[in-house]
Amino acid sequence: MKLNRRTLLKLSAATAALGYGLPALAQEIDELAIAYNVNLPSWDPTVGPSAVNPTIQGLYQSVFDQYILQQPDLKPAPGLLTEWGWNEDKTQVWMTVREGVTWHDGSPFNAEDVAWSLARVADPATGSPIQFVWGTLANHRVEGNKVIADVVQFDPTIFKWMYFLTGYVLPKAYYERVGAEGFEAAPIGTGPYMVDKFERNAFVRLKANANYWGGKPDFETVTIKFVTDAAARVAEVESGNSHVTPEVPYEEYDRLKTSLTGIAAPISDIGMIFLNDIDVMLDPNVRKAAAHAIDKQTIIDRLLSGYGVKIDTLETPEYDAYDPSIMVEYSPEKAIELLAASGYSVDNPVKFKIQTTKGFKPKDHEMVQAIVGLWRKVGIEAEIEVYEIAKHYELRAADQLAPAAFYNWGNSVGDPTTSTGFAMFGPSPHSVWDGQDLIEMIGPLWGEQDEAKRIAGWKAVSAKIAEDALVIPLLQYVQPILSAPGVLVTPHASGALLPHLMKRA
Amino acid sequence: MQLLRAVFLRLTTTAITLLGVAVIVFVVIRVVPGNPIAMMLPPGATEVDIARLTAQYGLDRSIPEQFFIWAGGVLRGDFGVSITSRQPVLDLVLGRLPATLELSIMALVIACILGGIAALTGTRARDTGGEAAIDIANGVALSVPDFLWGLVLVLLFGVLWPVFHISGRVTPSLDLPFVTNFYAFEALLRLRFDLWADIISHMFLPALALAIPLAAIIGQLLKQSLKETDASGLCDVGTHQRVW
Repeated sequence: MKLNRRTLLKLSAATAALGYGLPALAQEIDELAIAYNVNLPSWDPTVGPSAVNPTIQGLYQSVFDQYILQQPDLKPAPGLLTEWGWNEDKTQVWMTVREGVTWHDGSPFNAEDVAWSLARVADPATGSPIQFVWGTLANHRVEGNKVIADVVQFDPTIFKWMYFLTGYVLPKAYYERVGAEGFEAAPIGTGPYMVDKFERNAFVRLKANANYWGGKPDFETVTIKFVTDAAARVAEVESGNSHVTPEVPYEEYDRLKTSLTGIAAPISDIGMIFLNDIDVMLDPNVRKAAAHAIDKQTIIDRLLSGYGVKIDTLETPEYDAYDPSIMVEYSPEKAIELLAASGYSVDNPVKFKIQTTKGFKPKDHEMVQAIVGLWRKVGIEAEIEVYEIAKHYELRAADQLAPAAFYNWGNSVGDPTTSTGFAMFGPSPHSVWDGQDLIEMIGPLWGEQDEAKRIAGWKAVSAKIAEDALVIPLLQYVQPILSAPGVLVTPHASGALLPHLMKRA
Repeated sequence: MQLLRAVFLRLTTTAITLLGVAVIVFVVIRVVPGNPIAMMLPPGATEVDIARLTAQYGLDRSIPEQFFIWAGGVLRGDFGVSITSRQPVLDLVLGRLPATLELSIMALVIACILGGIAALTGTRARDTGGEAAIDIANGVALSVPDFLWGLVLVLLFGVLWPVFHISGRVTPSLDLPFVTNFYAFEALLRLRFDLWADIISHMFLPALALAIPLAAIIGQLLKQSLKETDASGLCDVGTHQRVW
């Protein structure tokens, strides 16, 4: 071969290509790299807006432990608390603390940490957004390896919040020594990973906690890169620069799932249409017709490539108050009949506005367009208004949403209060439908002490909501995760991507 | 004296401009759709919580009052605290500024190099098919938005032929002995060419994506200028008289 400048350049380029970024498909993975879809604004998982951001809980759960462990199917299991419960008359709660656990700095974890963590978030001064729950307990005290607290106001979901938003145990001695700023700069927990390096908006590098009570994770080092752009995340895994990534477009997932490893599992997030009790929506025939006219399965199959689970209530199959008998059939004929009873038809359609985001959730705008098309066939003329998610929150808080508005509702704890409850209880600033009959049905359930009666009550609420079409649930979202062939990912129904659940194949 | 007067006038107009921009930006942010309190509401929030949060962040005050509170803080060097990250805003901005500056400078350098090459090549090949090809290339470079160039470059040099990094500023496993956030600059000062190469390999593709449209503008303007100068005959006179 004649070696000239051109040939040399070609050889150099080829050599560089071989040397650079060889896909990890063919290599042993020493350091796991995850291309994550959101940034981490703050390391404190208990206070501030970040604490109630569902998309970053997976990051928190890598470093911190929750009081109670939540398994991938959303069910609780012993965590830092091995046992828990109320006393007989439900005036106290008690918790048994796991022994033999250490913080990442080697100091011992004990019941004082639990008592302090609970008291801290119960104090309004600390700015916990879930203080309204934690504040139902008071007078936290330690008795051996047990923590006791008095029940100020009975909340049947108090233990569920211990594996939900802000339900994390922080180190009392360390936090009091370094303060909030010091903790933000160098956070420690009891979790499966320790923070080795953190660059805001760029990455966090984690090192396995060899003393983790749940067993040392498979991957010694994990780097989580914050890659908020979906196309860039696809490029990351396709090039081998990252080994795992969630939340890729379904089309890309289908394209890559054969060359990489793909897993798409339902998560605790629901797409739904809020109905507002204004204008034509006050007519039950219009609401019911709108619900019966939507072919949810076809929308899932055609727009979401089949990645979705059709649902008819705000409770998914994993939730405690899920009732499979509650169904809203797809029946355009029934929809036409209902509308005719109110004087509407294809020639004289009922008109209202439906609001939706565009690109906030997968195919949100496209789904609403499809729904509007289905509605048109039965005699509903809906005008689509696209807005930003910020506008949705503003209008919802002010109860000024349009008669119909698309939204999603996550509920990783699976309790009906945090899905049906907050979404449908009139006095809540998150709800849209403010019907008095529903308020009266839901009201007593907040403090119901009989668990079986409470769940039955919520099922009755779901049945009423479906019967009167007070909201239109559409689908349970499915989370697509791509990973390199050398990595086995265990999906979590909460949607959290947990490195300590990832194993070498 | 005249110089002092000019400096004073420039400072005054700058201050007025900054004030005007501050007022416009402040008002626009307050007027656009979106209620930050509504976005922060935790599940289970009540009207009392809304009122408390609104008062806590001073959003129950009038817009002029909010502006003066903010402006007063700015004059003291206090830009407030980020709601999401709970860090001082100034610290967050200053923390990212070096990366932005380094990326901008690199993009500018690349743009000047590419634009210069295009201009010189186009001028040399004037009135031939080569010039037309350069003009077409410039047109394409200018008409394609930089975010699209970014995607193309990621696909070409990050996925199909992976020679550059496609995310991040530096390889996370590297230990950086830097005291500032000017990584590339400090790596050079410390003669750490290994780190410098890693940083540049992360920065190259985004800098190139930013540079391409700018290079097209530089190339077109410079080529035009070179052609005009060439046509004026000054170069021929200079060559003849050995002016230089």
